[in-house]
Amino acid sequence: MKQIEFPNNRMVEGLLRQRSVPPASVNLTTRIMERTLRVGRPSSAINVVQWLQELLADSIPLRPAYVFATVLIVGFAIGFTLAPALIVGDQPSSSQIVLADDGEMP
Amino acid sequence: MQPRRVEIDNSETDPELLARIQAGERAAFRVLVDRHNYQFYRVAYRFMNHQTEAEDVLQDAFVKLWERPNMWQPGYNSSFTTWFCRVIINLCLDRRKRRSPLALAKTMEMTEFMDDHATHEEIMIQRERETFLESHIAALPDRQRTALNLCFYEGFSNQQAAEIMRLNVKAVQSLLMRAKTNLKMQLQKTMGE
Repeated sequence: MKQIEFPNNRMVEGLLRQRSVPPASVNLTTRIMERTLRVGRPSSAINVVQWLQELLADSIPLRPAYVFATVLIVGFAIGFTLAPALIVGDQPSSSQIVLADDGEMP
Repeated sequence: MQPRRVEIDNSETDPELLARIQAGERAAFRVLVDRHNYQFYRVAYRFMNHQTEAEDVLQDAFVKLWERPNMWQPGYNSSFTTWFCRVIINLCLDRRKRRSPLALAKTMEMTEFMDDHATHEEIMIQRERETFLESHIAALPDRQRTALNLCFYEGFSNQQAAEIMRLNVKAVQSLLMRAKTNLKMQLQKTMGE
């Protein structure tokens, strides 16, 4: 019996090229068409779940680390922007009360 | 009452057909299926190694398209073929994940490509090689197998394969190289035993 040759680059390429695909069933198109007839088409009314699925169908999920970092940066930005506005107001803040208590009596 | 016949010009482009499909024209859908079904069947077969399963994947993909023809829009960066190829590959990978490795091995169909004059011995050797090759291709990591199937067998350019796989061209080239090297090493290992 012949021995199987030891594969080199040429042989691997040759083997890969010989890999064949059997023909599809002759009635494949008909079967697809019949199946689409059976399933019909969903109603055109807006379906929120479907709309969300379509919206996210092609999106690549973001890595949690990036999401966390973005939330942190946005959080800091909002925090620093709002902080002065919270301190300066009609009502004395807790820090103002503490400072007032620590001061000398008039 | 006679159903209204819709004239479809077979030379219409995919985006034109898809616009008609979105309007519910079944005849346009048939033209699209006829035009692409063998190409996409081949893609599915390379992943599933089984005719019935490949046809099932193809049916699922086309039914999805019929149900939601808006999934692809002409404004997308990729052509319909490239996009639909990605749909098929994702369906194949999902199915493969659901199958056990044993079931995967059992479903592999060995195809005969020997000529009529080949001796029984030659046929045996060839089948043995095919079995080796199919099992080793099936064992490749998903990305390497996808790159090999798209570029080597389906004639997609590296650029198109990169679009389908959402990678850059260099990554696809590297995957192809690694797939071939892996195959050679695995075949050498198996045959050397």
